[in-house]
Amino acid sequence: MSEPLLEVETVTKRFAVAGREVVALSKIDLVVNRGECHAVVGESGSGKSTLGALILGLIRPSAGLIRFEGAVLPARRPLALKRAIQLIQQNPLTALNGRRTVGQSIRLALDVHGIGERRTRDELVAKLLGEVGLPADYARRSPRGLSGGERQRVAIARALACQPQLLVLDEPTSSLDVLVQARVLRLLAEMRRQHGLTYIFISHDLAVVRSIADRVSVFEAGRLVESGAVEEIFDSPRSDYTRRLIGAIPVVSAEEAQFRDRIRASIDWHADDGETYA
Amino acid sequence: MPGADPIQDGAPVVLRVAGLRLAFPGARGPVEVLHGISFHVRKGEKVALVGESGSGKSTAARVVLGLTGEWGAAKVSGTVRLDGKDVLGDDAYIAGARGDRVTMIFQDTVSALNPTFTIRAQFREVLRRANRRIAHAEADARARAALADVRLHDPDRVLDSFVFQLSGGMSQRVMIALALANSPDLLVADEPGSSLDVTVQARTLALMDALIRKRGTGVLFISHNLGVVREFADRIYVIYRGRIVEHATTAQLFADPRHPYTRALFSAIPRLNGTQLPEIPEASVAFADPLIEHQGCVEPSWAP
Repeated sequence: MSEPLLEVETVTKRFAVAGREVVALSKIDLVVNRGECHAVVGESGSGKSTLGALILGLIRPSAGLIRFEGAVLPARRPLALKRAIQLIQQNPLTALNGRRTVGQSIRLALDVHGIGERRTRDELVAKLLGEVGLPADYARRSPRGLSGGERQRVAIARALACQPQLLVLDEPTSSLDVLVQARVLRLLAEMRRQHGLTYIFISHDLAVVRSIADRVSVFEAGRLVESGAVEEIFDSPRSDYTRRLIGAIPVVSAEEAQFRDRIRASIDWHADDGETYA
Repeated sequence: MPGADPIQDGAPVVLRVAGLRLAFPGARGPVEVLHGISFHVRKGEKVALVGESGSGKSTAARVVLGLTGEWGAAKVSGTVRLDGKDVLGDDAYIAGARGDRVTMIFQDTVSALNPTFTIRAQFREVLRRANRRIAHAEADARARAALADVRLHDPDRVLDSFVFQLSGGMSQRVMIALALANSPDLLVADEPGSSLDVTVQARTLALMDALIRKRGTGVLFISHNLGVVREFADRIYVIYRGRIVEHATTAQLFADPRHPYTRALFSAIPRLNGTQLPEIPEASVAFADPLIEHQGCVEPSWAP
């Protein structure tokens, strides 16, 4: 029952940088099915965040088009579409307005999109905070006084307030400590299940991706090098670039090391005059 | 004179920190951020201080390096011994040793290297710290050799560059070459490579490892990443909120993590072979349990 929610069709994005043209994304074809967590992985400069920005409508493709529920996404997004596709950023402090309380930030999303009765919206705010594991009295606090993990929970609550269909998560746990990251990842998985959400999970961290994604698309320097089910990509990567990414990850258990070393053994090192990871 | 040393490894201790406390003045009295921590590094040994943000790991490293000037009224007590000499409070001594006997590598190389001087000028300055009368020609020859050691293949181009003209991976290599140019006794590496892409980081750490081994440099490695530490360190201190909670060899720690905090850390790490993340407890009172030292892992016993 894989029904496409988002279809990226031969999308290219070029930027002019210092008078030169840089191709950030080159002829990308990608389908994200409803309800899946689709990870977009790659190193810096791979184009993964550019893809996120295109899906959100923050920038326009230079060529190609993106469909959402079968319809081509327009240059100017109507409010309903903005509401349907929400963003979670890496740094929740810059994502939240420090001059508003947590409650005001979430409430604003409800007001803008006309969600719920005006009189009951504050109760809705409290309910959303509860969903992400924060006490209702956090509504009166400033995001500045919260920990990184708490702020990210607030950002998730605000995105959920819009009752979206698709969340674009751009490195959502990359600035968090590992204990906090684990809790936020569990919360994200739980929210997806409860609300039937679809995720585009942009990350450089393959271990994190393995723990949360159903499908993975690997990007290298603006090209999509491979795409497939998470087990497939990790167990038998087809491209040498994917093998290098997996092979470079520092691991913490013997089982993982065995898994990684099997991948490492299949890397073709000749392109880097023999410089390896070990 | 150091007393009996119970550790099987007889290599000399290059860094010994004992009972280190650090407090900053606060509105309601001093706020202590390091609560009496002890650790040591032997010659040729790679020792990691691993913890999350706010654990005090980088702060402890700054005390070792004598980089406490900007802390103003901070109160430091305890002992820091470098090559057998008490250096805590002896700013002149540390300043003299820094860049020569003790060097450092930081996460953010672009801001650690001086943007207004070429790499060549920075090499000359570093080499002059070991030999005041070194001639330019000799310094340049040594710089070229050091850059070749870190596998930068066009040393002259690199020497004539400013840091902003190099990629992140290249500037990290330059930093390593500079830090090891005088074959220091101790290298303090604070999250080296953690701002780089994983493939670049893996190569950089492998390279650094090989060079350190060759020179027999002792390393104090500061990291939040247990995976990186597992690959790099011989011995590990786990630090949590200004206290060392577990001390073990790398093999011991990964085979048998015992402290509740260390166990929580391990359970929270996403695994490459795809195991589910468990429910992670909130900061538990058990995280404040006393230090667990594994067999053979004891601080050298000489009095501070």
